[in-house]
Amino acid sequence: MASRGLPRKVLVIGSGPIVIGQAAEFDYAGTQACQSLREEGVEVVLVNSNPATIMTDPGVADRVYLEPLLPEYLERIIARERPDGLLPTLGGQVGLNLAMQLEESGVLARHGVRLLGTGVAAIRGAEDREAFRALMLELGEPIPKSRTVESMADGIAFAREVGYPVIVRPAYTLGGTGGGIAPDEAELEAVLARGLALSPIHQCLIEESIQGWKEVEYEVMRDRLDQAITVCNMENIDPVGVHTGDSIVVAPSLTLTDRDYQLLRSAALRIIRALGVEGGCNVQFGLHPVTGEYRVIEVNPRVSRSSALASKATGYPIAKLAAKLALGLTLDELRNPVTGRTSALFEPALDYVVVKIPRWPFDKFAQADRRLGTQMQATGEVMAIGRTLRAALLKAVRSLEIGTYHLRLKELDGRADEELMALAITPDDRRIFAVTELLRRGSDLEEIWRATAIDRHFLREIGRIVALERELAAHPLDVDVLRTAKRDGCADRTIAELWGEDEADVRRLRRAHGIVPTYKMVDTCAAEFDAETPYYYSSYEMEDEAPVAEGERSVLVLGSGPIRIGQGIEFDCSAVHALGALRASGRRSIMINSNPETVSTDWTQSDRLYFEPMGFEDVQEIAEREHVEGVLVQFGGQTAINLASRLEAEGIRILGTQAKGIDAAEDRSQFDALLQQLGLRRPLGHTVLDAAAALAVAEEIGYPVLVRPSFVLGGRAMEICYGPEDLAEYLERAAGAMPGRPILVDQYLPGLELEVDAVADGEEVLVGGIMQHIERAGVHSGDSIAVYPAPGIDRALEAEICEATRRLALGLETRGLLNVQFVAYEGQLYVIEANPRASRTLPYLMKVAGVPLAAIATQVALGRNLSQQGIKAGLWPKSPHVGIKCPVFSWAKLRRVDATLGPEMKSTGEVLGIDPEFSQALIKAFAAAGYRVPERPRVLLTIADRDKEEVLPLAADLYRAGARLAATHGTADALRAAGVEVEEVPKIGESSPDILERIRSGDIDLVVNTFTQGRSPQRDGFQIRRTAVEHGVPCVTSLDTARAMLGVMAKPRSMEVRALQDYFAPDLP
Amino acid sequence: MGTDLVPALLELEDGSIFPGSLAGPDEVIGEVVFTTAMTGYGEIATDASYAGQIVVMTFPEIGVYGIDPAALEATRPALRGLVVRSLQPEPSHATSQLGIVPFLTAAGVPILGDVDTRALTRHLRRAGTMAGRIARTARGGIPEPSCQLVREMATREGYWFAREGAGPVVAVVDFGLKADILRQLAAAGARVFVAPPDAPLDAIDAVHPQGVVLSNGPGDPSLMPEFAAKAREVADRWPTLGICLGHQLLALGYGGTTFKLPFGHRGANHPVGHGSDRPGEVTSQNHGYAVDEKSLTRTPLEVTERHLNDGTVEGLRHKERPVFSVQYHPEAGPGPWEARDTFKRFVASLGGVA
Repeated sequence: MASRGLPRKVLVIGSGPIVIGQAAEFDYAGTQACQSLREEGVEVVLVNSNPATIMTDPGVADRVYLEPLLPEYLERIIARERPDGLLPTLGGQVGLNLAMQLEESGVLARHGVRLLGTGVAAIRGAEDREAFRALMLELGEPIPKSRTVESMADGIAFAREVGYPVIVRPAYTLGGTGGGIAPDEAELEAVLARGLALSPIHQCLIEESIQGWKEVEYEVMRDRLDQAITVCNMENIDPVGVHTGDSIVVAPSLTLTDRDYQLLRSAALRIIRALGVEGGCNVQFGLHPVTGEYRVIEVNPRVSRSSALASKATGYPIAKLAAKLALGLTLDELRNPVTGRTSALFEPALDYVVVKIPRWPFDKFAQADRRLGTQMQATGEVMAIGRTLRAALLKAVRSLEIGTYHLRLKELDGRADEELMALAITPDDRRIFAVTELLRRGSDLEEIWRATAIDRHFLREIGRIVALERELAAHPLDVDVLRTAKRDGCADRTIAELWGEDEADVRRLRRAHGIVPTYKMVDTCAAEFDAETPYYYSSYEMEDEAPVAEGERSVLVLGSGPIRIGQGIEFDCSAVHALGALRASGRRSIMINSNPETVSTDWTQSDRLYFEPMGFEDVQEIAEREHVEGVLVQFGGQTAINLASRLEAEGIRILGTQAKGIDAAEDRSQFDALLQQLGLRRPLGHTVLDAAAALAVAEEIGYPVLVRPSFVLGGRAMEICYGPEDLAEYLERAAGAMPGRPILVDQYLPGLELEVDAVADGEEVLVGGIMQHIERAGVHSGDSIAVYPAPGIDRALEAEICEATRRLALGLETRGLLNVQFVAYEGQLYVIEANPRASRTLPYLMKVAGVPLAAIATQVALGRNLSQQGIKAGLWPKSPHVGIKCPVFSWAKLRRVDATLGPEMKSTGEVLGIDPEFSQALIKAFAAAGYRVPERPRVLLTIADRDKEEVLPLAADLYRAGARLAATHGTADALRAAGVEVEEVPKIGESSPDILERIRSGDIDLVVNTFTQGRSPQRDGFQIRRTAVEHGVPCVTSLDTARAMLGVMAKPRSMEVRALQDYFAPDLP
Repeated sequence: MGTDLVPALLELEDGSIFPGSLAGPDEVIGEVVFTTAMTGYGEIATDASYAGQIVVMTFPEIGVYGIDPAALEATRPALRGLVVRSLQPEPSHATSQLGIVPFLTAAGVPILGDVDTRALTRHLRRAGTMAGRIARTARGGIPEPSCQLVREMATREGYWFAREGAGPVVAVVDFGLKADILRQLAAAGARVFVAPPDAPLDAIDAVHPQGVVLSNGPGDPSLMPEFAAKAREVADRWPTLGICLGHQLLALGYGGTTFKLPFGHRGANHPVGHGSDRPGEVTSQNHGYAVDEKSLTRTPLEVTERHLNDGTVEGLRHKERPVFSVQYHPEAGPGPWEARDTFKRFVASLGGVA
């Protein structure tokens, strides 16, 4: 049937770094697509700048390029590889935009590359606002009244015409970046200015508001024969008004009649057919809850976050099939991969309910504006599967890992009803908890419905959960109520709290009465056909259908849950490596995770997948029923690590480093004692429990000090304090956030920060590599630019680091992975922290050094030591090439978040620059991270007093290199005094155009701003930084970053591109 | 929540028991079948093809959008009982006129909720459909359900569904029809007359139809020789479209045979391939029997469409006459709308104006 003939070699473009609006889902899609293409015998060339992905593993594609996702690099790769096809629809918006650029600039035609699947016309028809409008009008599909504007005046004129509120959607931006709802003209001016600035083509759509309508999405697929199916539909619990990525979603729709369902389904099919999409497509609708009329909101002619969710919700691998359809295969000739025997031309039937809840970063960004609107804010999401909505919802809530196990947030307990109602109406991340609390207090459900437009069905189901709470509270230890509660998805812990009992006692009672989970299969067909998908979820039902394999050695791998700041895709990447290593060593691999975006929850990656919350109860049930040989906790980030001691206490074997070793690394006093015993230095510091003690300690060790709560991830709530006022202010804030929790006060050493990832087997230690941070200590390691191999250390220091790592690993009794961070300061090496688990840098190091640390660690955890694996202890041979990891931030998307680096982690993703030359690697890293600095840039400097002396040589170099400098008064004076020519720019509000206006006007190419005391958003520095990031002007807040960036500014780009495979097999052509 | 549920169970012919909680009467017997359609329980409950059956909904949440009389396939429920996982008695939809519980129980149809419907479906898939009883207690000895279902469900008198306009007249022979067949014919521009299943040809002829539709309906077609003969007579005289039971009767009338599928095709996601001339599409299906393709060799019928999963016959065409039939439900209700074009094509072929 494939009459066109398959392409020989296909280029697949990935989505680059994780940013808000574009997360791990594209690693999942891209990995699947590569495998799918290779199944058909097609050679795959992959390009992605993100090293923390499975898709960039050398085994996934024939040729893997970790190069910047920019047209000039892509053209080089195309010229070198000569692919005959390009698959543009699997790399998110980034991949799609890039493919379009290559097409439009004639690169593809010049090199004889054909776009596969969805063609240019379809992409343009969906992406270009005007083309899309025209097509919808032609099809007779209703869309919200709207106008595309390129100026403020046009926007205001249209808004006056249709009436407020109006929605602003910038063209060609990710996750609706820069958009918003404007309730009035004043707000419109602000939102539109930002939207126009952020749109690469300075274009925004102003649209009639359909706020309060039901929001429904369809995932649709079509092949070249015009056969089309809908894989899944989804209904948002939050009606139109909240970005779908920030909405709580159920799949399939629950409140739509068959007529509603088919009305929208038919429209979705008409649209995909009219566009001529060959592959996957997502169509979003608003459906009026009373009149039943609808509007088409948006069409994405590519795989998306929603298609990843739909794939996990149904078991139907959309990306895999989309890749086949792009090759010209057709739905009727393909089989449903889940059943293996039925047709791929069908629509999955679900016999369960799926709930997705976004994971927001506001726990990290206390000052951020938490309100949800048209601009996505979530960094990740969780999904839960239950036999009913109630069960799925409660499982999803406890998957979030936000310190609650139930639909209750303690912080809302004391709020007034009016405050809760305000939260329900003007939603932020706490909306569903506010609604639940209102119902708990007996507020009128109809009133909440009228105020929020959340369908009454959803409110009633939450009401039933509240009623269940009362039942439980009224009947302690009642087995019938217990059974109902478990069927409804209640956690043992919730039941224990309501009963005033111990969680373990609830579990004992439950098990004594045979109330244990039954596992059901996700099979795409509601049990109509036999399927062998090893994909399960828990329920409390009559029949269990997940037979436990006898006589097999099974190992459970704990995943890392939702993507959040500090615990990102890196952990999933390592977990997938562990699954592969388990298979290779003859173990049956079992995966548990709650994140639908990930590769680890692709059911082909493990021998059995449990899509479950990562709660203790959930993990324990699975570990016990599967009679696992042990549990691997070291690949699931802090989520998994935190479960280790409880699992061990229940007699479940932890493979690799034991709970004791984990505690020894995490508990400050144990760790200090160990370091002392091992003769290793660390910055002076103490753990204190109150403010007075903290101030006393700081006095003793001297300012500046680094303060943070203990047991943290990603440096949450960590700050550098330069004096007592600072510290007092911090303590007031932090103590409020976590009362009674110990606080660490440490000496702050502004030295060279170094980091290693190692594997230890109890006797010997393999150091995978030493990475050096460009920014001095004090900038969170996750936000620092890391260089491998470390360029700034001599042999002696290298040996000292390896030795310290060895001693630490042995002292901590590490069996498996260990990440250690060091500071070298004034000739001394200090240990900052040690993490006995997979780290954020692990995938990056594995890739650039070519050392399979995760697999080696898995083997060690299974009992094969390094020498048995044929691995030589000590430092893994340093690569001759340089790999530089550069963090990527989502500043523009997070309102009111200070765009400055510090000890708290803020980045959402990372990119790699890899090259034989250091400076070229750095150029690539900056380019890949999106920093575009012209050759003779205009650089605006606003420097804190304490950094003024340090900035002078940098400024002088810049000036000599041809940069034009601008600075505010104080900095300008200092520069002039040092003989550097500089233009003085008025401070905020001094005279027009002031510094902010200058940034907005677009004649500043780079802002270098260092942090001044005080965290109030009113401070000038905050406004300067925010203005810069909101207007797409690179803003650098560490002089180290600035020095690195400007150091390569004048260097010519070699533009050499190389596949990862080439770096490790240099003899090949 | 306004609905009192009592403990009850579904007992199957083979002795399996599925406990649940009951709304409505007990002591109900029927053939137990499952449907995987995720939406449209109201349409399913009023589809006469389900007459005599206890229907298991594999989709767990049932009742959420209540009952919209305008969307039903008949005014009264046709099935014997409904088995669900999570019964939602309180409707939430603008078009809902009443809840599913009063709608079904007022007609004597029980709903058994809180059942592990997935376990039940898996059992039926393996063991095949079989008789069952919804009752308070299990006690064995389940009698065969009755089979005079067509006459129970179909109209006894002929009537005009849509009489106005200049379109062709289509007579629908009612073996237990779904109202959406009539709505779709009317929407395609036809004037629609409904005839009872026992109507003599003269009575049909009296309305001067340009075409005839043989409707869907309940039961085993091989036990209805008189209707198969009627189907043949109709098809020999008028352009004819057979749907579901109508399709099976046509095959039987021309000398073909039918057989029972192990667990039927019931759902809204069934793929049908049309061969090379038209692409395949997703259809709504509800049938427990199928036409045996091998039996067609000595008939004037040829296969035009097949199910893409099990290859069974989904469409037939008379080699010489303007007669064709489909096993699936082009009228949807519930299910996908792609095949609704069938009615437009049929009506257009009759030479009328739409």
